[in-house]
Amino acid sequence: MSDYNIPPDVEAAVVTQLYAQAAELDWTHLNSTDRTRWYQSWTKDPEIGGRLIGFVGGTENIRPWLKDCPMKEYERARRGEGKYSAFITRHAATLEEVVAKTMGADWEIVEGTRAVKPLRVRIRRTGSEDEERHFVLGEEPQLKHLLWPAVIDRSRSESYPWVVCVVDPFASPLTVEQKSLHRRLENFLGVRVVYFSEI
Amino acid sequence: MPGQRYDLGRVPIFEEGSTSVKITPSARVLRMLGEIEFKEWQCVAELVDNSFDDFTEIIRSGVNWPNGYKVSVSLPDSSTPQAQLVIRDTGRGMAYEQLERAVRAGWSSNDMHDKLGLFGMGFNVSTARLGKRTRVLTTRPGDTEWIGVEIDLDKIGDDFEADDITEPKDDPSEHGTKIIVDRLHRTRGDWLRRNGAALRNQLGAVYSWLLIERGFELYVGRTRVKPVRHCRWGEDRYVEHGTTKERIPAYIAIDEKLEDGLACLDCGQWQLTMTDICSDCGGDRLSERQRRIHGWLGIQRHLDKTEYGLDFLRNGRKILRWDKQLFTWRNPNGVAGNEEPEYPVELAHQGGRIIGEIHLDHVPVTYQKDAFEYGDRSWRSAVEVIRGVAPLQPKRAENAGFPENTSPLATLFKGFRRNDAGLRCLVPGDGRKPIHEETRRWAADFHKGSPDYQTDERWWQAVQDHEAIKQRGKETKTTASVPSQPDVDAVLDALGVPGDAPSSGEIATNAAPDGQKDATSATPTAKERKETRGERIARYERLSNPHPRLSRPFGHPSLGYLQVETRLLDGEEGLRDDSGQPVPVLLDQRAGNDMTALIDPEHDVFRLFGSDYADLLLVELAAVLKVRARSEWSPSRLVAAIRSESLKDGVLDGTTVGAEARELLVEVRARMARELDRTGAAGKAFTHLTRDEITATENQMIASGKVGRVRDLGQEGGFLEHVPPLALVRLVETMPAMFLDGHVFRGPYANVASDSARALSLARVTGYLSDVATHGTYAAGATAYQLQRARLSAALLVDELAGDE
Repeated sequence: MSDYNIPPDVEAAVVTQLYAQAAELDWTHLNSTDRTRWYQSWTKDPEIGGRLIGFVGGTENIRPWLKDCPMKEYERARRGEGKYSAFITRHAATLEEVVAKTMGADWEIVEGTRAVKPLRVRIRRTGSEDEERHFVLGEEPQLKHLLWPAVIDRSRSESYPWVVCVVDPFASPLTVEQKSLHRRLENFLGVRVVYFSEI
Repeated sequence: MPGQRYDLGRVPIFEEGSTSVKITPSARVLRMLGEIEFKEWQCVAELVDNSFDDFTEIIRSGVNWPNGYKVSVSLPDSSTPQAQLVIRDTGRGMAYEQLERAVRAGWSSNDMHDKLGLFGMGFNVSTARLGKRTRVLTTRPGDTEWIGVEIDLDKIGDDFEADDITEPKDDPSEHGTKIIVDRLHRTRGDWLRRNGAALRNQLGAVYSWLLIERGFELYVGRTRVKPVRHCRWGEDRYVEHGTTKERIPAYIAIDEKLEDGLACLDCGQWQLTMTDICSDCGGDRLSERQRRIHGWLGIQRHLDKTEYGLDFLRNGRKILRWDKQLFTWRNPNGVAGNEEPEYPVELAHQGGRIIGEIHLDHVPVTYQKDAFEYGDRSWRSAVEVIRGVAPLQPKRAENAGFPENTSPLATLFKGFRRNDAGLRCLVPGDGRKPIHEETRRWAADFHKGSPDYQTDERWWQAVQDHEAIKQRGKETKTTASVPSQPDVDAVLDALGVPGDAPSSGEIATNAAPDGQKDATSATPTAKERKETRGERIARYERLSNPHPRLSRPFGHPSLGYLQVETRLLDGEEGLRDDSGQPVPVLLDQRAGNDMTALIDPEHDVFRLFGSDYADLLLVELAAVLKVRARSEWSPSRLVAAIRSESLKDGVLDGTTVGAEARELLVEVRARMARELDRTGAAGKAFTHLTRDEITATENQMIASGKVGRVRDLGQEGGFLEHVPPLALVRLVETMPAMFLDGHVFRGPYANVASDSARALSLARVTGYLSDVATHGTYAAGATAYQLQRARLSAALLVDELAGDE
């Protein structure tokens, strides 16, 4: 999808429009029917589809591009990650903020250790040389992807323990069952699960 | 406090004199509360009401509330006993004592007039109806943990005590209350699991005012609940009624302050007289409170069979929706059943369009919150303010001995009870009749949130279009019926037929001057009516052939691309643009990125000035791309850029033109060789070659690996494939009868009588051939003009080649 040759200024103008509207619509909490309708509307929008059409071959390619490129990155961009993060107007908590909130002020991020999919980083207790953890952040539906790097590390007898931070969204709070599953996984995998309440 | 048990039942419900009789409902009664008929959405709404009440108080107190006013409803995701319904808010949370009071059955706060619901009966009915176990947890900013209570209907005994629970807090700044219901009632739990969308719709309607005006946010199953809005005409729309042209707006704001009243804070009853004791429940907590009727009445942009009528709200929640009872006149002096429906009167099968939103915060509602206490005096006085006492219909009012009803509802009724298309009733139409079906579809788009349908502009346009079409019809009628103005063209124009249309004479006799025939009723037949743009383009397409070289994507990396199909018009009629002017190139935008370009080769610019098709096509395409890409480039820069990007094969460089020339020469050589073989003249032709040419031919054959055939040189026409290009020219000059006359080239020769004509025919072919041969030999270093000439000669030589016939 990204192999279209869309000039940077056109892409910037389109994504700015798109993200401004997505923020206005509270995209995270739109159902799929509404999202479908908005993709249709954006396809016809002269400021969005109209500007893309000359670079993607035909109308039928506009929606897949919107969906697979900027909108797929939307949640990551809200956390300040990825190439589209500059176009976000309403930010969600960044990885740094989540670490500070869930781990406390005496943990800092080790530079150069950030990785994505899932979003993760190494953290170190301030002032200590060797007290380090892996910290991975994501939502409950992606839980298995959050745990997988920890599983790989365990299989290699890696030394840093893992903190798995699961977002507890206000609009769909984690259930008691989900949290008890997390407790079992903590014991089984030797990881720590923490929660980040996000409104 | 953990470990403490709440007493859920010690509430003084009835006291008389000095003997107090305490009635403590038994656990069985508490369970029975769940049998009270509350629909699933009503149960959820009852719990949401508590949160919204809290938000309203926060707003009233003027405190800054940075995290917003949010309530989330998480629906059960399975039908297991663990599946739960969670309702959570970002409110203030409760102190221990507040919580204790809040969960008591039958408990009421001391402020029931300002609130939607109350932790009390509504809470107990709803939770008992939804599931067997309810946990309420609450925390305030700064509290160290969530505190709460668990009411388990299976465990609770007649001692009425519920367990005290706590939960750790992830973040000390968290605040709010959550209600968790599990061991859900099977059918109601299943309903909640499957009907998230229906629940959102219902709650979106009930709370629309709070969601819009107060900015409260409600999420159900992770999805934001959208307020259901009214699709009504804007506040500046109006009709002019009657001969006096009385202006009646399509929106009437209502704000009527009534005299303050004395209300009982225990039972809610308004007191008829100033007193210290409630006349209804005997309570002594009476308070003077404001009574106000406010909101609006308006006109919906479409008629609907059921969705019209007034919404009545109490403390922001809709109690009645699409209520139609005010459209019926109840004769105060009549007998029971003497009720006369007054609206809609006309086209009742299409429904109505009077709507409204009226706040009656002071009028008591039934415990289910789906009706007001209609017997209450405050309801009756509200009805009087909104619709008055007299019938809405003036005639009926007069007959019943009432003065004219001037209430807001009667005013709207007067202006909008009829539904004729046009400005007079503010109804969209198509020139002849209202377009109700269409406006209903637009309303569906409005509710879906489509941006084009949010304002009333589309409806307004349809009202204006209707008037314009009607006006044209009238003018036609006038023109056609006045014998002193036999202006045939004007009549035809009004009918939508161009004055020069072939069938004009026919129409003229039908419609014009005698005035006997109604021009508007003379519906033009398909043949007579004006050709639409689509039809015209389709006709051009039928009369044209594709131009493969110019059918391709045109554009530039900075401008984007258009997929263009180019067609050359065949015929002398010519291309005309939308205003009927002849044009050399006409573009027609198709679906998406597709574009059809029609070119008229007979246009003067090509025929007399020899312009290149591509040049003018590029001019047109550049204009389209300039607008679409918002390009700042000048027209010439655009044309240049598109040409260099999209017509690379048109580039004039020696290598390309040389290759093109050699390619054409291969074809010419083969045809000439075939002709020599056919006539057995190969040997004769060979003798015309010079010594140098023979040597060059031999070298060429050897270079191509045909050493063995050098010996037989001249016996077959095949040698022509290797002779130097210019030798071909001389062979045609020396043996014209062999190659002209349709043998290789089309040009006539043998049968042409005059020598000069013969020479002319021959010179034309050899002229082209010599250009091609020159550039086929050596094209590097040629100027653009020379290359252009070579390319033209090649094109013309192709035309000179004889067909296969």
